[in-house]
Amino acid sequence: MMDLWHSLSATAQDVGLFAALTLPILALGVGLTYGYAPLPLVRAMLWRFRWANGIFVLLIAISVGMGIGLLAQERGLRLGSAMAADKFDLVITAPGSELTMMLATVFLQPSNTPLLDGETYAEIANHPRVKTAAPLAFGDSYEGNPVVGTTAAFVEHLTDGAIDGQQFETTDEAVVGALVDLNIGDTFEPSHGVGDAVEGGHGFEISVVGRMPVTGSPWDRALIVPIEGVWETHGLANGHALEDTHLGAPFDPEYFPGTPSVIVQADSLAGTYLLQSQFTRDLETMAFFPGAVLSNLYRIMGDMRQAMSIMALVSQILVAISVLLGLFILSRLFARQLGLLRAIGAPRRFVLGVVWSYAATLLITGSLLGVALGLVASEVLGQIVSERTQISVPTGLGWTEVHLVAAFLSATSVLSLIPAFSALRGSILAAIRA
Amino acid sequence: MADAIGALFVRDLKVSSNRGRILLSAPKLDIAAGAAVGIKGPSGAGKSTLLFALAGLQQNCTGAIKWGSVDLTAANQTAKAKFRRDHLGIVFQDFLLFDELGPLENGAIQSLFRPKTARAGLRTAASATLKQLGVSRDTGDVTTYSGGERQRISVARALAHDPAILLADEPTANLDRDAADALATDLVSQAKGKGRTLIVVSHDQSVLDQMDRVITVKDGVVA
Ligand SMILES: Nc1ncnc2c1ncn2[C@@H]1O[C@H](COP(=O)(O)OP(=O)(O)OP(=O)(O)O)[C@@H](O)[C@H]1O
Ligand SMILES: [Mg+2]
Repeated sequence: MMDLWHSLSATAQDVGLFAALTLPILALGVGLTYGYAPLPLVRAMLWRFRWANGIFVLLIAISVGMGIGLLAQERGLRLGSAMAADKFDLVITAPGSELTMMLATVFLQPSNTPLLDGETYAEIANHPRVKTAAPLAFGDSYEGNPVVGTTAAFVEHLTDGAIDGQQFETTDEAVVGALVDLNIGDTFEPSHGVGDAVEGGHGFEISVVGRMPVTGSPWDRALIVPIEGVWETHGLANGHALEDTHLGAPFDPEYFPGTPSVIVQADSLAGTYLLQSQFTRDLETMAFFPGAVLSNLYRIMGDMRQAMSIMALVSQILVAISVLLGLFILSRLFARQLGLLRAIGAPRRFVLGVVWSYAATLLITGSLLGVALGLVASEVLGQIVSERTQISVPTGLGWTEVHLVAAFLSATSVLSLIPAFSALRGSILAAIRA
Repeated sequence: MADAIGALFVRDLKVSSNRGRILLSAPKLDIAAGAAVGIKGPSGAGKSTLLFALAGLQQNCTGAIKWGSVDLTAANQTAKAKFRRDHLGIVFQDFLLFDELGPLENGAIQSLFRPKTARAGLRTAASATLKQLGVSRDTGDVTTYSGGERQRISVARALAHDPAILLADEPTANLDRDAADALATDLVSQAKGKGRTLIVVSHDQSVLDQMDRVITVKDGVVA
């Protein structure tokens, strides 16, 4: 049985779990109402207690919405940052904090990072398993957007060659990210420094010759220029001997000012792992997979995530309990009518079906509304996070949320049998005399 | 006709309260199928208690209550419910209608838990009875109808499934003289026309006058 389950695809497992979770409510719905027509009485109950019902539905919607919003947002952030790091197979830097280096390289968060020298860069670039090795140069900005110096080969890799316009070919040309507010043909003057530390313009213009497609990462706001230009602007050697005027690799170690990190593409997955181990050296270099750093981060944050999930679950349980209590009271208020049904000989299953269907209607309506609320909430949260981090956060319903809602519905629909059965308890005469 | 479902046979019936006090005793009561019987007696004498016992709604009954061959004191809840559903129409003193539903929906309420095949017939019957009883409009919920009209709707509900037995507890208590007499006449004609057994609890002498026979309940004893 377990073997069979594990042999199924992830989607099949998700669908299977969903089916299993919805089975109780379906079985109850069919089992309690098959052959009967409880709808007019359910409508009557819904209408009689419309205000209380509205509040219940809202309560359910808010608690379900919170749960869903939280889960969807958390997953979105995880997927979004993983996608942003997707093009960064392996990053080699000076030893330090992997997290800091990853934030600086992949997410373009400014930080003071030690540099790798020309010898080290050359060793990486000339390694037989390396396909491309891109150096980076930070430090300039334009209207809050980072100006990043690197090689045309890396831009090619980042965009899979899908540049609108053309690649930069001189140090006064730039390719901009999809969200940069400049058109091809526009010019801009980079300022020295980033963020609050901007110190004024460099006094020369760079023209935009190409635009990258959306990558969903902070690189969408970057202005990418040949690294040689950034170095020259800051009075450094430009990576090549004086008579050498070409841009990009290979660089001359003699004239290489240093790079905070090298983004490496190996010839294969095996090559990537080999390079990671070869360039992990105590005092010289550190090599890491941004994807792995992210998963570590999520693992560490897992506890918090769990705490949040538990909080969402607890709030959902509390809401479910208060709703059930309310249903109890309301079905008491409807006791005379339910007593009448029993007095004229309605089968027990029918009376159960009426009360249960009433409860289930509230639960289902609330849950669906909650799903909508949750989606809106995660959309809004996603926008805020995107604006803050420039990581585009994919939103939408995932299986986890679907399972959460199905589990909530099933559990509460089973619990709704309690008020339903209580309507059948006690004497009929006591009910209709009340 | 001894076994007709509308023939009542009661022997040594004792109804007690939950605390064990005897609320009602009926040593012997026989009613022929198709008879119209009135029940009278002072307030608190046990008239309603008797009527509900005959409907199988009273708990703590000993002795025998037999409708035809169905012994209600021996039956379980499910069997009693089925008996009421199949053979019994009850008119309650305070109507007990569903306020949110209209006259026809109330009159045909049984159709909600009857087999699909029986539903259309039930609605037709309820609609016809409503017309006969003079409730001609079917717009809006029953709260927009007068007390007399609501009482008629509850009579139509009791008759829609063509029961062999019709029990009514003070059906005219909320009505004025003319309306009370008219409803009593309707009850009797609805019963006589179909050979139903009719049992009506009433304080009202002119209603009781329309019955074949009147039973008196006094101090919890059926005479
Ligand atoms: N469940 C019960 N527990 C205890 N006493 C009860 C119960 N039901 C009825 N009684 C008592 O039994 C007596 C008979 O009640 P019942 O309702 O049958 O009177 P009634 O003849 O219908 O009076 P009325 O004309 O006022 O309707 C009353 O004294 C009542 O208080
Ligand atoms: Mg009474």
